[in-house]
Amino acid sequence: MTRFASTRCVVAFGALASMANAQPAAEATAAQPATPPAASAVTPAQPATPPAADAATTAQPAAAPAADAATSAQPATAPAATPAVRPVITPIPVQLAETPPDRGPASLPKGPLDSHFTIRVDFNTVWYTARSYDLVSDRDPAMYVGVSVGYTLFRFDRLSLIPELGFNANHVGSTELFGGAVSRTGLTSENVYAGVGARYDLFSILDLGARISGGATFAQFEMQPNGANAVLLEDDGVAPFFAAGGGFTIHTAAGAFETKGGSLRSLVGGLSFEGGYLLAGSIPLRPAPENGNGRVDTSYTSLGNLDRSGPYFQVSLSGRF
Amino acid sequence: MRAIMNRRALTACSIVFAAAWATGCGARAPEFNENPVLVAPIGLEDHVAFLDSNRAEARLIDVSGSGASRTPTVVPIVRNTTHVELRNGHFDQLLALCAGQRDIEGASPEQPGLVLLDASGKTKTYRYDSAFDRIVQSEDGKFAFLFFDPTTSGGDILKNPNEVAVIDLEAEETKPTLKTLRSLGESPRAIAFSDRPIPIGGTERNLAVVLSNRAVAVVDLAHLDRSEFTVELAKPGASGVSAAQVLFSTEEEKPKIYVRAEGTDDVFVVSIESESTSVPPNGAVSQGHNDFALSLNQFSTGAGARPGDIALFSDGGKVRLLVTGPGNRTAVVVDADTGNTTSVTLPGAASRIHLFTGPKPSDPTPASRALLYSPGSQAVVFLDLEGFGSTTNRGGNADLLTLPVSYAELAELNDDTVMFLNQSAGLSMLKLGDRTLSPITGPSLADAVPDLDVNKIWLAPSGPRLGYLDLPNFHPNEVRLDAPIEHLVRVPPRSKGRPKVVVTHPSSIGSMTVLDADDPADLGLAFRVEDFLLEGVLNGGRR
Repeated sequence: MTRFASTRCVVAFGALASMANAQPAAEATAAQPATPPAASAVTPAQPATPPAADAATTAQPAAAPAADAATSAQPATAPAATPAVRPVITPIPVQLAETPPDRGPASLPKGPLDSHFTIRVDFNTVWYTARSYDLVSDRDPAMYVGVSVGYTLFRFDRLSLIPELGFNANHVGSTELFGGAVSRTGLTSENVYAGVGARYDLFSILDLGARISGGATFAQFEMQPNGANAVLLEDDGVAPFFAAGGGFTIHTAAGAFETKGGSLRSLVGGLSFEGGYLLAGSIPLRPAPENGNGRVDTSYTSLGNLDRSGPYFQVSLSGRF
Repeated sequence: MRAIMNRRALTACSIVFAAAWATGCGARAPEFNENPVLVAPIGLEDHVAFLDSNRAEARLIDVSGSGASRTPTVVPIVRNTTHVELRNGHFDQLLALCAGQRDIEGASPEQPGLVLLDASGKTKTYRYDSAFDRIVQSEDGKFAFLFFDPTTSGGDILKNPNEVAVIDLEAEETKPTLKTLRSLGESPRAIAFSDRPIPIGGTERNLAVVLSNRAVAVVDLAHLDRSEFTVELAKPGASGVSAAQVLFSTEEEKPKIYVRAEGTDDVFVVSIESESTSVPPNGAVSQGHNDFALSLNQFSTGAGARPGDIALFSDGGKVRLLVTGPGNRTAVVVDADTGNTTSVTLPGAASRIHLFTGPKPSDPTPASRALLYSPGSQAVVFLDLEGFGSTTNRGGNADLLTLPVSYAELAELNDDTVMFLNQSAGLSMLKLGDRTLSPITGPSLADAVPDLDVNKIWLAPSGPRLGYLDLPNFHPNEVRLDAPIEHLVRVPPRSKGRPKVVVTHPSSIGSMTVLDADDPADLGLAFRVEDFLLEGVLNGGRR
């Protein structure tokens, strides 16, 4: 089971790494409405720098006419299907042909940039109110700790849609059940999920959010009966779950972490609070020893179904960049 | 300023979260705290029943057929089961005597009750107020008599030790008949039911005799509303006499009740007079509203005899009473109709009687005979009962047989074989016709269980080995199981089913192995069921 969990972790972070590698291409094609016009106006004069590349390949109505002229000069874009019309040749302005002087870092553009990636560390508490959960915990709430990674795929004015992948885990246990007949029980749950969140920028430091997610829980149950010769009984189970909730995020203002050198311009840190309901499939438990039985065919009876639905409250530390 | 606002907001949210997490604790449901407390398991028609006195439930596991997949049927019963036994004559039903729950802090009070549970899981509960702790059934299982064990202290609960409950288990009514027996200062010690209906006044009815010190009470089970008879065995003020054994005789002109008492050399004969008379005859007992009367006679068995056992036998069409007198090494035959008693001195003291019909080494003709024995000794005595006291059989032809070691108990295996469980270790098989002994050595076998349905004796000493002895050839064998043995349970099979025997293993949550009783050594026919005490606990445990 532990080996399996590690595998899932590798998968999750592998996906994260893949998305990170894809970042430049995505940025190159994304619309940037929040980019200040002044910056766009400057970038055509600096083709060697990344902002200039953005401006050159992005439809920017506010770009300088000179930039339009530069793109029109490309032969591949000439209207070859209209030979009857004689092409008009416009002289290239001299200043665009010249190499701009290197004015150093101090001359780089400053100010916040949009964030696309979101990484969260989640502290998710689920209130398991079903009585069956008392087998594994004396308390109804169970806290899961996990991470998730999201990417802002669509943005409409203040509203963003963020698909995400996540993983969290939890271990609960109980002792001295059934008057001591069972000395201890334990349940390790590992959740792997995918979801999509919606974020609405209400204020400069406050977002509202809603999120739905679904995934699978990989559970490992163990039970140690009392007695000198009693062996540890174990069972594994997999069950789907679906969660829906909403909340808010208090975050730093855009560009708050920007350094003098202009880096970390897109970094935003935040603290999220989210409440919702977890609808989870129950897990049938039929624990048995891991190392098989003796010489006689043995059956282990079913304890029943472990119900796992309940309301949740999640606190997350998030970073967007 | 913005940073300060952020910090305040974060602090407030953290406090809210922490408070919510801390206050939303919940508590473990009570059923997850209740420990299983089992009374001894019992087998009933293809099932094993585990009654949990603390969790107020019975778990029935079907052990018929093959294969290990077993799901218990969980049946709620009355709380605090104190005793469970099979219903006589009904191998598919058991009776559980339950004390209920006294009203104490933290527990829901519950009336005591007697639960009739059958193999299919159906129950019938008889409720009453007094927490009776003893039950005696009639031989046919029609009646159950509940009363208080006189040896248990009263504690801090008010109780009437002379209150009894009589339950007709075949009636629809679930309310028992409660009676308070007239007392001579004593309380009931045991109950004896007539083993067959007794003809009284043209009708047949069952009687129950309540045994107590100095007296017996006769209850007409067909008319529980009527007063019981109280028959004094000793004069007022006498002490040390207590009724110990009762036999019913219906094959005489007047049905009789024979009573043996401890603390006296006499045996008592109560004759049942069918005629109802308003004035009881001399020596008779007040009959109250009953339509029959009783008359009491007593017969001496000899000074110092101290009768140890009584048995009825038929000799030439007449019913005779055989009495052992271990105090003076005698055996006495009583003719209650004539009052004649015949006493014979035995070659060894014997306190108990085992009647049988069969040959003897010097006479192949089957005849009525007795084996007299005394637990704790090494000797047994054979007596010929036919014509006992007559010229042809004046002294019963007493024949002494000495066993290799002293024995603790006798168990009848079949008409011709009895088993003596040794006091120390091993056992001896005695062929009554041949009067030959077959000693079987081994560990202490005091808990050996005869299983005549499969012609075996089960021996379950401590450890994982189940021993068994094939009765046809006295061949011992054993099978090693995967876990130590705690209890051995015989399971009555359905008529066509393969018989099973079940052994339970020490476990806090249930463990048992089911073996084919015909071929226990074949572990391929065996299966084991684990954790059955927790079956379905997540779903409330009820099915």
